[in-house]
Amino acid sequence: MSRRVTLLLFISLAGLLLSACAAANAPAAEPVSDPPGSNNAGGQPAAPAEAQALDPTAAPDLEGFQPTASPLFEQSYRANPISDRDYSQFEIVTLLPPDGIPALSFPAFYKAERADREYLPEEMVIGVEFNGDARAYPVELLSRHEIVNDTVGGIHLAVTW
Amino acid sequence: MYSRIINGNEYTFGVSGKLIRNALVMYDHETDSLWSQLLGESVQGLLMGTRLEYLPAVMTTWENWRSMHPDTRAIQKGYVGAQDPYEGYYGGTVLGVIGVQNRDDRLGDKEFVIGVELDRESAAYPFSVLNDEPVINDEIAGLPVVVAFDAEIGAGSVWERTLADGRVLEFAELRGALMRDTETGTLWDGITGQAVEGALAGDTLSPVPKTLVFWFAWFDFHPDTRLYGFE
Repeated sequence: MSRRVTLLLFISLAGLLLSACAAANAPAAEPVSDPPGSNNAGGQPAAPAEAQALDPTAAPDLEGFQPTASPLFEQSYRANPISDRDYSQFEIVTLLPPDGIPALSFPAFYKAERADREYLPEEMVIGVEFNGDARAYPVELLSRHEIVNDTVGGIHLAVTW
Repeated sequence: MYSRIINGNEYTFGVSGKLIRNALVMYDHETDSLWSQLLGESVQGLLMGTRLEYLPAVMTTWENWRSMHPDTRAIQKGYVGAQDPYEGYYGGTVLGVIGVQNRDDRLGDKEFVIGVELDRESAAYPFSVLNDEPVINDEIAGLPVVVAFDAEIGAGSVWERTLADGRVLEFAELRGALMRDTETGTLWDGITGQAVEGALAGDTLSPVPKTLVFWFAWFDFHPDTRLYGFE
């Protein structure tokens, strides 16, 4: 593949990724076993009780940032249960080699005063704060890296775009 | 945003170069398992079926984030301003590179929605509806939630309406994403989920996992989604 084509592909892919990542947050939600097109709205009410049992040792160090945790939230999002979702419905298409778009890992940070010289006031950022450690990840930079591996206030996280 | 802790172990992620329905597929360096960003689950490999833990984050302007967190740090860029080469994609008519399976014309393809999937039920809140109704009290899969939207910066958040003591709040819009609960009269910032004034000042609402996403991409993943304002 010529360099030019590779570059074009890169730009297309990176742009396209925006289709589904105009946010840092994707839902780590309950399993959906219904096939596409089925409508469970008129069926049985969704039952939080169906959430799978959690291994309490699996929870990361999240103390201090979840002030009003509810049982459903705890059951659904606080650990790593196995989903019974049917993945065969999701076709995986390869466009670039792994790391063709380079994720960032543990980048260097400025203090806010220094960052003011490079950040526009109206520029969009993903803001994260845990245990008093606040960090900003510029959206335009995330568009070019898709993923930032970082540790904030002791919380190991991946900002994804 | 997700935790990198999976079943007690730390992982790091890279970009796989693969897509599912035009959305990012990540891989982890430790097992090479593939992860769908939109589903928050591993879709292939050793960890297939494992769900990532959702962590809350706020999307807002640098100015706003900085005033909320004066001690914040920010990634060293090495250049001034924004260098987003993909801006043309937002307004363009191209939908991904690999086509879409499920399409719906109740909204424009590239209109942004806030998508929530909870316990086998999904709901989408279009920016066009949120512009007129920036605070929405709703229920998803039996969970009382409030969707708050700041039209000025195009940022939205979703919170549980249930407090630790079991009380369920109803929120009324004040201006933009500022809201007041009708039970205690407390003033809340709908974007950060923090009670800024009143009886519950200092409290924070529990975040509900959400995605800001193009309508066509949300619908492609969730063809049975509820579409708020179009029911």
